[in-house]
Amino acid sequence: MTFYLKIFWLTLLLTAAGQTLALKLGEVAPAFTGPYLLAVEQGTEPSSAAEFDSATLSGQVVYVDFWASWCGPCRVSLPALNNIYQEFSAQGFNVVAINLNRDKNDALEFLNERPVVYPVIYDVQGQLPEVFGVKGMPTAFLLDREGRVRHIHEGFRPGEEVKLRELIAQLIKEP
Amino acid sequence: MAPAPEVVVVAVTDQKKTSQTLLALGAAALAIPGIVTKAEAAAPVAEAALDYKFSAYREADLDSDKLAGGSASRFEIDSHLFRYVSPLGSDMDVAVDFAFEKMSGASPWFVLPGNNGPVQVMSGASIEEERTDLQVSLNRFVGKQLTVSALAGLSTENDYDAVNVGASVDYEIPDSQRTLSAGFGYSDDSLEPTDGRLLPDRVDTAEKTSFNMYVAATQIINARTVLQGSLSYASHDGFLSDPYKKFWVVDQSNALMDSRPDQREPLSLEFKLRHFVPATDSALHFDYRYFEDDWDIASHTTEMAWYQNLANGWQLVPSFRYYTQTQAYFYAPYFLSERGDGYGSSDYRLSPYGAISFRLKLSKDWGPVAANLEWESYRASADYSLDKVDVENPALVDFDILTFGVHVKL
Amino acid sequence: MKRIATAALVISAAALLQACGITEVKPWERDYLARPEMAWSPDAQTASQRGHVYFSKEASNGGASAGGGGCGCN
Repeated sequence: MTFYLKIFWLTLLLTAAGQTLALKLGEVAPAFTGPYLLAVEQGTEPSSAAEFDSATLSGQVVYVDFWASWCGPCRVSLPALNNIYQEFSAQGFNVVAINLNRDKNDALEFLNERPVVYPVIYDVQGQLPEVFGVKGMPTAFLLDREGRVRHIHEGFRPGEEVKLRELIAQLIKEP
Repeated sequence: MAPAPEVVVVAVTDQKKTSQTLLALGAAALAIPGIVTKAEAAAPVAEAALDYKFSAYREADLDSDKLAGGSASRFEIDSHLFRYVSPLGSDMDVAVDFAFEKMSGASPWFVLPGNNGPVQVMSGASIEEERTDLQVSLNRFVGKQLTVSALAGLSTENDYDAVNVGASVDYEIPDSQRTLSAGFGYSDDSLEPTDGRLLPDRVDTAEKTSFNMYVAATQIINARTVLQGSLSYASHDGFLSDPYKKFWVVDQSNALMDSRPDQREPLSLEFKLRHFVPATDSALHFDYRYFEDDWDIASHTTEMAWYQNLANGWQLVPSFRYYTQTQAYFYAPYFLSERGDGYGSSDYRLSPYGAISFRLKLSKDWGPVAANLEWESYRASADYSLDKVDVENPALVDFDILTFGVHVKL
Repeated sequence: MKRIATAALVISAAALLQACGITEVKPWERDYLARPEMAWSPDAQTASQRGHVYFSKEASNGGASAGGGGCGCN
């Protein structure tokens, strides 16, 4: 028994993994542009020139959400976010979803089943999650009107939208 | 959001028309929940689902030249399996498994020496039995890295009752590609063999307890490959003999009751590999297990499966399994004289042999509903053994299983 | 001798892994790994039933699992 345990731990020790840099709370998020996966109006194919520019959301509270169709909790988070977006969009709140699917058709199929009305952009190269420091799927960054990261939301479980709604309501009130 | 000094530009990608085939494949990939590798933040299942399976298990008749008495037709099992999986609150999920099985047929009794090798005496009357099994497991996801699971189960048959409990933890080391797991299981079985009170040499009641524990490490090798190594240990105590089997002792011209040590400690070392092949949209499974115990049994099990995704939600899975084992030290087809320690068994399951098994599974996914049909063919023989076998046990089993299943998203 | 062989096998497997190299896989690159057919047991129901069949027809059983119902089939 102990003999096999020794081999087991030895095998474990023989390998190691790397570290990633991440955007921290209070830091200003980078500005970015990217192609739309879906236009803001649901269902219409964006023209090839259509690009989202984060500068257009200047001075707003923004929820930057990294997701993919294969991520289990994203099936919970996208519909929840869509509700929150519709509730607060008139008060200076925006959601930008960044899709990280390898094949964007998988993402389109997902959105066909669970439609959202907020902008979804597509980042096949995975540059944005690198810069933001995404550590799991999904990960979201809630930015205040100054563009500072105020909350990092990793994963998404049913019921978590309650706390998120409070947080957003509070950030909207900030000058 | 305020303007920031640094601007990150996402590469503009081509805007091809959506292919219907790829859309369908995407749907297929999402539809069947399973115990997914910890590639995403550990989370409860997102949707509730119900599974039903019916399976027909049929053992081949014993060859007439190997039969010395009793019925040539062997076991048949019809199984109804139900599985319900659901999220529970915000950080838990639950799985309930229920099985109902009807078994009938004759089983090997003891082995006699024959002119052309040993021959089998089968039990005469066809045994009719029912088995029900209920297992409930609960997973709790603590934070993003830790999953704690607990399970409990209950199993009853005409001649035995068993209760079992177990627990396990999975811990994903932060900022790594490695998950460590450990767990244990405990089961307590009570046997009350049929006709135990009528037959003087058959045990009336008996008890058996089993304890097992394991440690495992899972390593993501690259974006397409994941590997798991595990080590497990078990300890079985109590009545480990088969109350329905006997062994023949030549110098006594008598069959004695199957008798085994009341302790057994198996150890196994297992490797599992999963590899995805994007070019063909398929996944390769490779499993290997080395097993040894203090009854001198050692075995190798190798399993390979190829999950081929096809258009329109179809999937075809051919697989192959190879198994080979050495015999228990107190096993013989029959005994010239009784062993000094009093142990003895002619059970084919403790004999040296090998087995090959082929499986083919076809499934179709419509999104909210999926169905599958699976066939397995298992053949055991001394010829398939890795080590040379001098005398083959006449009761080695060949069987086929046909399974039909439906999966419904709730 | 058997133990030495096992040790050699495991250590060479680990060394081979090291040589092949473990590549960093970002969380958003884990789509293939998250596919249902890449699970250890994509069909939990059949896997547990089959485990029960092999357990009752062969001398070996066990593995990395906390579960498993009883069986009157010693």
